[in-house]
Amino acid sequence: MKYLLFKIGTLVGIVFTLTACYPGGAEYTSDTDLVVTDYNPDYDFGDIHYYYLSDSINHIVEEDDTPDRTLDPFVIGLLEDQLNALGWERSTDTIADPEPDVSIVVAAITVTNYNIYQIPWYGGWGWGWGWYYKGTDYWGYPGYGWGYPYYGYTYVTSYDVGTLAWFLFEPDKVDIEDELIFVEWAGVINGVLGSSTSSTEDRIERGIDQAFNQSSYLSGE
Amino acid sequence: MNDLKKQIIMKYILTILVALLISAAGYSQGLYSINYTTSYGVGKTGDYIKSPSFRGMTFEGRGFISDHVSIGGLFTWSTFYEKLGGATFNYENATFTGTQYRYINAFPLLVQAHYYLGVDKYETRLYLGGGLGPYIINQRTNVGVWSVEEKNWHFGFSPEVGVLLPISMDTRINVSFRYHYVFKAKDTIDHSWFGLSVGLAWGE
Repeated sequence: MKYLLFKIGTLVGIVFTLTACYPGGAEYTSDTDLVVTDYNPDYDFGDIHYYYLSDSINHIVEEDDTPDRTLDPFVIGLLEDQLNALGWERSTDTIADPEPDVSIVVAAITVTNYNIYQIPWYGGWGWGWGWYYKGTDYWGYPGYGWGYPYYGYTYVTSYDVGTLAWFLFEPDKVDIEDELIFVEWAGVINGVLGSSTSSTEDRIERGIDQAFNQSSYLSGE
Repeated sequence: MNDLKKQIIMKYILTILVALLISAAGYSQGLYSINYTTSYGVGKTGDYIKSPSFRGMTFEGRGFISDHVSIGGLFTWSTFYEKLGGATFNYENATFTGTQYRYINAFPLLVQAHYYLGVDKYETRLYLGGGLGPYIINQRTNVGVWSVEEKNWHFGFSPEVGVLLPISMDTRINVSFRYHYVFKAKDTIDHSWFGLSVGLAWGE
């Protein structure tokens, strides 16, 4: 019996070694990039000829914090290029003549997320699992009241997630009384922030390109 | 049923299965096996993850009630995984584009019965059989920093064909091929996949 248990323990160890290598996930910050667009299907984007786009981005930061505006001109420039490519004309004044048909507001926010890990951890299991085989005195597995439970340890990581969002709406349709803005099209780029400015610029450019590519309805067709 | 109750029930089931394995190990008319298992999703499971699974294991315990028939239990853990780079999908009027990481962890906990051809346990023996019982299936999609997860108990069944190849008086190589069909639960899909297991079996 002891010999058989030893064989079981050995083979379980081998099998766990073979299978416990949990499949991968995101390796680079760019792997976390997500582009989301949403629109009002009843809105006729073909009627847009002039748009208002501010030179600045609304940074949502903690009170007393100073927003980092390093990338503002870069982002605004990319959006302007894409909007102009639709045949629309930019106005930098909300009371310009002709009056802009739509306004586009751009916002940016950085949020710190925290992960808590429990070791050992095998994906898909609701609790830690550690087989024990020690001589002939005892054996068991955790949470079952046999042997010596193995609780592992815990560690915490954090990462910054950046979000860039823009919203297109008609100023004439804003419900001032109820403070409602009816957004006709929205684009969002979301991902884990890296430390390299050039890499961030590449990711923003790819994200904005993708947002317009997956919004073919903007051309009014 | 809340998660705590599910975990308690799962622990009981696992305890029974492990006890079954151990008792089969010590029982003169029993057979237990540990197998490396690969899986191949078909149907909606195959649509969700096309890549085969090379991460899996199966534990089995069988007790013979006659020369040709055994009953027992099975526990399998299979992990399916696929990365979809830059995938686009739509939900209502919204369009999402990002690299998706798709996972399925499947845990069948089956009661089984098998019929064996031949009576000489020291010769190669083919067997036919199958099992039925609960499956725990955890299906998760990670995209960006977001995750969508479905973790449910299902009911399913699994026909099987296999062969035992003796390599010593009490040890055999076990090769089995089985099909799993798992009924949908709540808003999930119904799952199905083929599994190929190769391992060692001990007992009489």
